[in-house]
Amino acid sequence: MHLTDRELWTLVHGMGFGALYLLAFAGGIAGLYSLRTKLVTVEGILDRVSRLRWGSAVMAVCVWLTVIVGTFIVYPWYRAKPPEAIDTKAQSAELMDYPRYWLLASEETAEYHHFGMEWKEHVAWITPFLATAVAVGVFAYGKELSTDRRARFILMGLFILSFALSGVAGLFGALITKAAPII
Amino acid sequence: MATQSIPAEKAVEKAAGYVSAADRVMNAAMIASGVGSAVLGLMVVGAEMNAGLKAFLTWDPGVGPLAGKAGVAVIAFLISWVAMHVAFQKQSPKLMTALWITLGLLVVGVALTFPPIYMGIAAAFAPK
Repeated sequence: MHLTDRELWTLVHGMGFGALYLLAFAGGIAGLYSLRTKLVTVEGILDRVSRLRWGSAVMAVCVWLTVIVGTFIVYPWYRAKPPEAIDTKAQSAELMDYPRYWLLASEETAEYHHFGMEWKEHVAWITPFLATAVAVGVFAYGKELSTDRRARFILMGLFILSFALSGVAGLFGALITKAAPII
Repeated sequence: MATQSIPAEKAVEKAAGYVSAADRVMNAAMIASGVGSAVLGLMVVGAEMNAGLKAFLTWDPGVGPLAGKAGVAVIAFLISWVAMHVAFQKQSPKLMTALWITLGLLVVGVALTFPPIYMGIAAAFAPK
């Protein structure tokens, strides 16, 4: 088994930071939802708030790292321009090293770029803003979240929105990588 | 020194328009996330419509204009967050008002990063 540098960074971006954020979402949302005085003891609330604080901060860091690695390390390999000697009108083996141009060379795959990548590369940048706001909220309210239903629901809403948008980015990332992998 | 309110007092405080310290911190971060999103959307449409802006946003030739679009949005997010965090210590909107402002900005951001919308706007308004 051998991984190239590009495959490794793609894994770090998608299966590392990105997947960690998406998987941790379930724990985070369950933690917020059940943080209620009628469900948890005082000691339990303190323990859960501490875990939520760490969890939301780590998740925010993960999502920032996902978009930074994706944009500044992986994306330039995706959009690299092939030399003029390579025909960009046909999906050849030589063009496979230039995923953007490979996708655009056929009408059957062009929408992966025009719709999938164009949406993914932009909408993904909204998620770290939302994840940061959620982490700040968890730190600011602390144990008050167990009694302040409104604040808890707002944080859950922002958290779900952040998850949904990162899910869009992750889904298109997986589909595009399947159609035109960065090797 | 921070005080801990009991729920009954909290209900009275909320009815009177009181904004807690935690609400103020949350309001600033929440609205800033909306500002960052909306600025990102505006940069996406702007770069599509204006070749000069697209070139200006190309901070890195390998990344292309995405570097500038994301960079400007992050700067807007950070500056607006700090500015509102300071301003809201004196006077802050209520939590629900801040939420609606945030949602409005997020709708702008998400809509303007959706390819059929931003490409449609660019095609309709770009100089011929």
